[in-house]
Amino acid sequence: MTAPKLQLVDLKKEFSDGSVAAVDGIDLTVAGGETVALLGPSGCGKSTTLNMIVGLEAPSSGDILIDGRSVIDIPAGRRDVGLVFQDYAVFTSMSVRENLAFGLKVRRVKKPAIVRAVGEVAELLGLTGILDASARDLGGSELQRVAIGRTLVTRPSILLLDEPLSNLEAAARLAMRKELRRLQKEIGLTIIYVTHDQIEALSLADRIAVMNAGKIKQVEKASLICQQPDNLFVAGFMGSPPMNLLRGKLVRNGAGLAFAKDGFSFDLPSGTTPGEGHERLPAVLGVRPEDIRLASTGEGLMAARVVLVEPRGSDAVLTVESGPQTMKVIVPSLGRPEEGAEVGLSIDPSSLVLFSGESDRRLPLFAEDMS
Amino acid sequence: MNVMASAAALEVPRLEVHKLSKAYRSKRALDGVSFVVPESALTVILGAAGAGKTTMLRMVAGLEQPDDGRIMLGGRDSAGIEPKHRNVAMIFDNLALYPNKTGFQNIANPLRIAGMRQPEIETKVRDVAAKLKIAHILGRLPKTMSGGERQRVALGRALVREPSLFLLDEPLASLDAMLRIELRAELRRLQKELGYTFVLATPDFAEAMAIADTIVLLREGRVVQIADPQALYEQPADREVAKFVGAPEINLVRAHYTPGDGGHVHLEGARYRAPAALSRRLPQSDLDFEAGLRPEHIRLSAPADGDLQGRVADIEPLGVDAVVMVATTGAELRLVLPARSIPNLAAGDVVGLSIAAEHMLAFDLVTKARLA
Amino acid sequence: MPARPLTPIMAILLVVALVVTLFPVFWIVMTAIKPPTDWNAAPAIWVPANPTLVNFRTLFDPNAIREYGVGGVSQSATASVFGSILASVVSTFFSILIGLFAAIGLSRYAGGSKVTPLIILSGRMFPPAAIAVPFVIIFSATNIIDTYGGLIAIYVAATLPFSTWMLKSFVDDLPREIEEAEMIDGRSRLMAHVTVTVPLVRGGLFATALFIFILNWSEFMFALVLSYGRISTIPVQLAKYVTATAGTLYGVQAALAVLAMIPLVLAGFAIQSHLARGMTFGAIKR
Repeated sequence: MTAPKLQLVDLKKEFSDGSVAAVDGIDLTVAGGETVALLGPSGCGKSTTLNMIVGLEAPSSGDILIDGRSVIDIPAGRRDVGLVFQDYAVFTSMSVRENLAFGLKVRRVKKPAIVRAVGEVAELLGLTGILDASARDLGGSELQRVAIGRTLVTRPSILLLDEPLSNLEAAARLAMRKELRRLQKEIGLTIIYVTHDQIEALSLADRIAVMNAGKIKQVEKASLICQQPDNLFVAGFMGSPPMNLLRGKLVRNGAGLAFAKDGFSFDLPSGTTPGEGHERLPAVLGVRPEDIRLASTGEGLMAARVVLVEPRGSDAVLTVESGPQTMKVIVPSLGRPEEGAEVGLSIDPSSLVLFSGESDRRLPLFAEDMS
Repeated sequence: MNVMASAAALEVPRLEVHKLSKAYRSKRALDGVSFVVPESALTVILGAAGAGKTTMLRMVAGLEQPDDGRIMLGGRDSAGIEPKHRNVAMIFDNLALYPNKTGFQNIANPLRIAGMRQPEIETKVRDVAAKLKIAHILGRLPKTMSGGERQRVALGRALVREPSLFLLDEPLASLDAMLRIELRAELRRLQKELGYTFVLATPDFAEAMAIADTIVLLREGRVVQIADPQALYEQPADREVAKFVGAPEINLVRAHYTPGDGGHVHLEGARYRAPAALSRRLPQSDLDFEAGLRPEHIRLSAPADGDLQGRVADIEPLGVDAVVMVATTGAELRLVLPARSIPNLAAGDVVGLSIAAEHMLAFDLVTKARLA
Repeated sequence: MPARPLTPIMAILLVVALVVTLFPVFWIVMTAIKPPTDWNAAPAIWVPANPTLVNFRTLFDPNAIREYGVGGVSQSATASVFGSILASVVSTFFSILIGLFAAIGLSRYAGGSKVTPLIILSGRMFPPAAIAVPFVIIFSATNIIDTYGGLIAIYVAATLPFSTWMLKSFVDDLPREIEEAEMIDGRSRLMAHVTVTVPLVRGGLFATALFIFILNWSEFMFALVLSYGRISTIPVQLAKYVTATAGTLYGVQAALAVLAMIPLVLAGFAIQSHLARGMTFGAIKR
């Protein structure tokens, strides 16, 4: 069995003043040709992790293995890892061609090889037309392609990109997303993105590692991570808007269990045996905004008042208040209520997700149900 | 809110911009821009980078002078009035907090300049800080605050003056995606609660739609459309507006209209009843036009059941939904599907598409303007 | 970045650099405490066997050195020390003041093209010797020759290109929105620059001030041609320590040089922390 392309083993990075660790023991395995996104809010440790993989920062403990070999003692330039900075750091005094050739010239590669490599990369990124333009005159997405190209010419086996789309305009962002996905498919690089924008992560990566406070909270396929959050943080982070999280506890209700909160009680579907859940366990009920409907009659009806309406075009996000609880509901644009309107919320019990209020982990509702 | 709006319309608008123009050297930043902002409204100036949004706001604030046109603040011409006399608060995209002053001192600054006495300053600053939930960071310097906290301090500095107009230039640009969404809802709630008039500039259409009462869409220094969010989405002025507002992007396909029999549209080999608005516009003539189809108005079906057939070109899962690109004979169409339905779909599959033609938009091929 | 260990080559280079930089200082200090007999000794005497303070005393008491059999020092150096202080401090002050507001004007309000910095600096590209004579003529005609006022005027004019250019780069690095926020908060345009812009470029201000002060303090050419007896600065005074009998009085010159160094060293230490920030001439943003 071949070793995975990249492996992070219990990687830690502590600040010199001994306070909160920037990276607090993360494990990650990335297979060759895979694209993984490190997703998380500012300060979660994703950029520090990236810097450690490249070699710009040394870990406090733990190991980084590329192709099965530890690279901790190998200096940054020699790890066969390429990094594209968030603000591109393209040399404005040089032309595009010179920028692309730079990495190879520094490595004393012979001229014909440089010309060939530059030509290939330029074609791959659609830069052949502007090879002789000065970097100073380029726009955002062109600059980014040059930044990527400059790293690609050195043929790294792993490519790291720090917030690749954040400096681009909306239209350019869309175009670049397509390009990056095409690049992935065409050259089969192993790519790692770092981003705070989940749409970016979802559209670019095969797998997403959600990070918070220095730890990886969940690693899952991009297509599944929204549907199957493993823990409270991921549930409250993924999704536009993310899942509504109601804090309460589990109580016995006749033969089955119910979720109770401030006098409001919601029966869990009969036959539910929530994993390690038990009576009086503090629990968090997760309800997706798209799984709540406005209704006048029906099961699980809750009275609420519309506090804010945010149109999105095809639909709208309502912020509703039911007693002390605030929730977000997605409704179609047509016939949506106005602010201040009193509405009834109907929740489909089969769409509910339950989390333990103690461990923050998801509780499977049925013994064999894991989805 | 409707009652408020119509009552406000009878009053003098908080801001009126009339035929505003400004050029820098040879480049035209603004060209004949006019719009009205009623009292207590949140108006968003929406436009791509370079559209002129920042120039516009700076002129309203008095930091720059227009070459042509008038800016009326509360009914009075503002020409020649210095920024400090305009009673306008501005929040810049880089927040422009005083780096050498604490949160408290930043917020207190305008009151100090006005010569207010210390005890009064204390009360007002703590009041605003409580409202913005930043009481705990008042003693800190900006560089030790998080993005969201800095944002609120900038807001506090503006709020404490109780100005008649708030100008916000991409205030959320430097924040994380999640924080941006959180804070923009807060901004909106604050604005409504306090009844202030806000003018906010942004290049992000989703942000504009979420919080605006009215959106003024600028393109290369000119006003292209002024409408409320839903109207901007459903009745874009031209094809560029239709492309700019909406994600995933609208599909634009060549189509042909025939008037006979109540009006029909021919698209990619399929025939549909023309939307009522189009038939009304063109009772007699044939027309080639560009059809705008929003991704949510196209459904996937079995190949035999659809009006059109195509091959799946690409599948992009985006969390709860997925965007699927289907290639038909002449075009590539984008549709949105719930993520649940895509595990059975793969690139290369032949599928059927049904289009809800009644929502179709029509754009003139030459002028690009919307016909219906 | 993990710290790179000091390699032997780097250590050698560092030592060489230190020696080259500090040796002249060492030599001057040693010479200042040498008795006249050691001044011209060959082979050179590195550290005097009988150090003495007579050179320093001679600066203020011209006859002090006669005890070594050397004569001919005509005047005390006191006037020149005061003269240098007056000329340098006042001209630095005005150079910075005018330069600062010129910098703000250029940075915030002027269009400016790519050649603006070049145009500002071009004022300094004239070799002083080439324009010295015309200035003597002009100053004589206007009766400001041999006055401190005249000297200060020349110093301000000569250093203004530097102060403007250096301060402009510091002001450029300050986002203009911070001053504009102050203006919107209620301050007038000019006051906003005073209360916001100036404090925030403090580091650059100190760095530039020190630089300009050094230029003025060590200026020789103009001070020489524009002084005829009423005004005197240290560099000019140094040149006067040449006698017919004993040749150049190296020791006395060295003593004056040591005294002249002291204010510069002290100023450097005093603003050291500000200097570090200022000397980066604007770090990368974003």
